[in-house]
Amino acid sequence: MSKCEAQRLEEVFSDPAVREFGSALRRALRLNDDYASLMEFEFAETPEAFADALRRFLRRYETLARRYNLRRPSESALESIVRLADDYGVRMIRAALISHALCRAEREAEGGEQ
Amino acid sequence: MQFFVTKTGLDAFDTARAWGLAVLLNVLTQDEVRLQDASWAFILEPKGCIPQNAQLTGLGSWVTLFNAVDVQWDSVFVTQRGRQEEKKGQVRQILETQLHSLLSDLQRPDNLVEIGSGENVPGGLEPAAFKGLRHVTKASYREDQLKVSEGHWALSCLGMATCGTYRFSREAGQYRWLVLLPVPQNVHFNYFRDVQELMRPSGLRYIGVQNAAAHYSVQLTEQLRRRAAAQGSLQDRFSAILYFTLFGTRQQVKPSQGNQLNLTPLMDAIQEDPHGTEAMLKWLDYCFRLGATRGAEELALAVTELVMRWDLDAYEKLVKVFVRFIARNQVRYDNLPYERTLLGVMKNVKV
Repeated sequence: MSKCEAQRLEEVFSDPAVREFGSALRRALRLNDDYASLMEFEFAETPEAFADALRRFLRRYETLARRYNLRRPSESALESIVRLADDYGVRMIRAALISHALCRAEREAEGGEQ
Repeated sequence: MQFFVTKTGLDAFDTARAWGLAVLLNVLTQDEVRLQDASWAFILEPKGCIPQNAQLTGLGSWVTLFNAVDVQWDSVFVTQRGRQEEKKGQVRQILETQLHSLLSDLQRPDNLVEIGSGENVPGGLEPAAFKGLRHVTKASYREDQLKVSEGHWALSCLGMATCGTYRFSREAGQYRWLVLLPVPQNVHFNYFRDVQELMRPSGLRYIGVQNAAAHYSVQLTEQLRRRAAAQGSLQDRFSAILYFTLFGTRQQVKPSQGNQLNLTPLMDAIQEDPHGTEAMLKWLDYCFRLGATRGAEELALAVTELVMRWDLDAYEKLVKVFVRFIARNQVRYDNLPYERTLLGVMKNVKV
């Protein structure tokens, strides 16, 4: 295994933009059962299609954010994640994004460790 | 004093011989035996000395090997039903009478196994020993049994009976024997039950042989991780798990599928950080356990694929499937992985 390449998935996972979108996806799935976005991410093959899927996700998320007064992913995070998809490929960004959706939130994790 | 088990290319036979010799040396010296895989051979080095006129007959630990219920002689000779006791006695007698010649032969690095004469290698030990698998038989079914010299045959049977794992269960709708054997890379062997303990049956309902082998590999790694965490560093390394299945036809037992599962990514992970990998192994184990429940076969397949391949495709598939299980409320909150758990998994994923 190329250690250098393996580190890239961890780097992408730890990227603030991926973390921001990942947290939003986690909330969207748990509070709003937003599987449509999940499916759209799964079907996106090119960076352009992935960027479109992210924008559609943001539109759906807006309703949820208003209802629960949640923080929205920033415009700069969107630009950053699209750039990452260009650099690393859609599959890696998608895997990192969905990983955030399935794990415990940072605050929850800290609480769990106490 | 070093002993060499020169490889023949028959993976299960070679590995079983190495374990068999380790058991034999352990009984003779009553001390630790170091096993190393040097690619062309397994090199064994007992810590203690072998007494000048060493005899196996009468040694308590030797007698135990043939009387204990957890030594799986019947399973090794599953293809020779009705003659299992006779074969077990034959192994004992050969090793007792040929001990000194066998040991002096194994001290030469150029010792080779004579193939073509001697005893038939049982199919329950080496799947390649079955007729029709080594050569094209065309229309006539004339291939002979795989015969090897008596001493090596007895060693391999001893190794498989003590360190192999046999599990008879219903998998994918059919009753099968699942046979597993860990391949040592650098192991300190103290007692055969230590090896058996690494492959303790889980009692789960697996959906196939790969699924079972992958779960056993995670369990073995967790046991080694615990030892590494307690001792400060990883003492024993295994390179792979050999696995194959046998199924009963009306009259005979036949092999179906087999392969080996590479343990290097998991071994590297626990060597690097024995404490930090605990959460990762726990989560993988949870995926296997959840995957063994009815309706969760997709998760079982996804986690099996990851443990066998460690690539981005397999990782992506697993997280996608797992998130669907969360969505269906099939995963309790306590069983959700932490970020650091997933980072531990990602460290092993090759892109």
